[in-house]
Amino acid sequence: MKPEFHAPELENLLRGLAPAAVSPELRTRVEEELRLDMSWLSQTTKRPRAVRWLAPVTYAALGAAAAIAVMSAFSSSITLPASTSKPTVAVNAPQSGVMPVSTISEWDDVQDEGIRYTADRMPQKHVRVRGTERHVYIDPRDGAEIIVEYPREQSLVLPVSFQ
Amino acid sequence: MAPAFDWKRTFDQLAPQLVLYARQLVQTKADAKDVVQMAFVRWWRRFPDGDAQHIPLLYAAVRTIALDQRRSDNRRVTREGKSDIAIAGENAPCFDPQPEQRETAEIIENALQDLSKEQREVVTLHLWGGLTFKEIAAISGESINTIAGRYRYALNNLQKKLAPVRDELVTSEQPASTAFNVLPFTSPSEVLS
Repeated sequence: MKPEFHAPELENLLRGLAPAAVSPELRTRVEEELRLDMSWLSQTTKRPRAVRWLAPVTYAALGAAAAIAVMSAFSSSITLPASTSKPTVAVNAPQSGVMPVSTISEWDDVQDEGIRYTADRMPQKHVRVRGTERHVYIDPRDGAEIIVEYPREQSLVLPVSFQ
Repeated sequence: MAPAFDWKRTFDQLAPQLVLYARQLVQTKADAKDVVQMAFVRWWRRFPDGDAQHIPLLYAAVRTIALDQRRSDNRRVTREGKSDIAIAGENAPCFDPQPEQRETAEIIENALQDLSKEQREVVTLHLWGGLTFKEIAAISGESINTIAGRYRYALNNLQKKLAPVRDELVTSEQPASTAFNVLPFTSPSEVLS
């Protein structure tokens, strides 16, 4: 009786066979198709996105950062706005068959709501931050891109001191 | 300005496995090459950073395009009453064996052809594409258990089919670690997990 294959032995045997190399002609075809993209890329200077609202809110943002540090010390339930618009890969995969590609948070507007006083007469600066959060998923079965975008609004309280 | 990543290196590493996979889905080698060209270009345009985590999507693109092409070919063959599409190029080998592996390659290629196309797809994606069962399940829209089951049945079928020639195959077998690199972006332990 002939000895049978064990699964690992068979897997090694199969893996040991290299798929046939592709012809240079296929590579050339891909190269030609991509050349247009490449030339377009080389001619396009990617300009940094104009952040018109940045200047007026710089001080508010600095204050917000300080406030966030203070508030996080008192409450862990506060959610913080993302400080960058650079795409980041989501860590947690969503349910079902889609794969996360990126999550982008952006601030669109910062509204200064002025200084208010607490019950014990301590001044606080109130700032309302509006933005957008965009999640991009791809369904690997058909390559469909799914974009989920929703607005975010947060109210920040900044400590103020008068000198 | 240089592109975000070197597509040529990625293409050279992945193209043989992609063509092998496409050949399991379409009738001819020429069709498989067309499919890989379209899929790779589409994938690169969408993911120009060449991130390894998007490689399963490249296989998914191959699958989608191949199935579309097969449907349209089937319609055309039915309409025109021809069968030459199915015949042309079908005998071109799928593997690129070392001289001492030629006989082994032929036997294995025949054995693979006897598997169902679902089993062959899983074996190809797992062993040569380096995809995990989870990734294959996402691509094909099946459960992981289904994919694992197909793989197990495929190996059982191959074991039965190849048992009579086991001695020939094993004596001509080359060490898998030196034979070819299917894993340009992942380590063997990751793939086999």
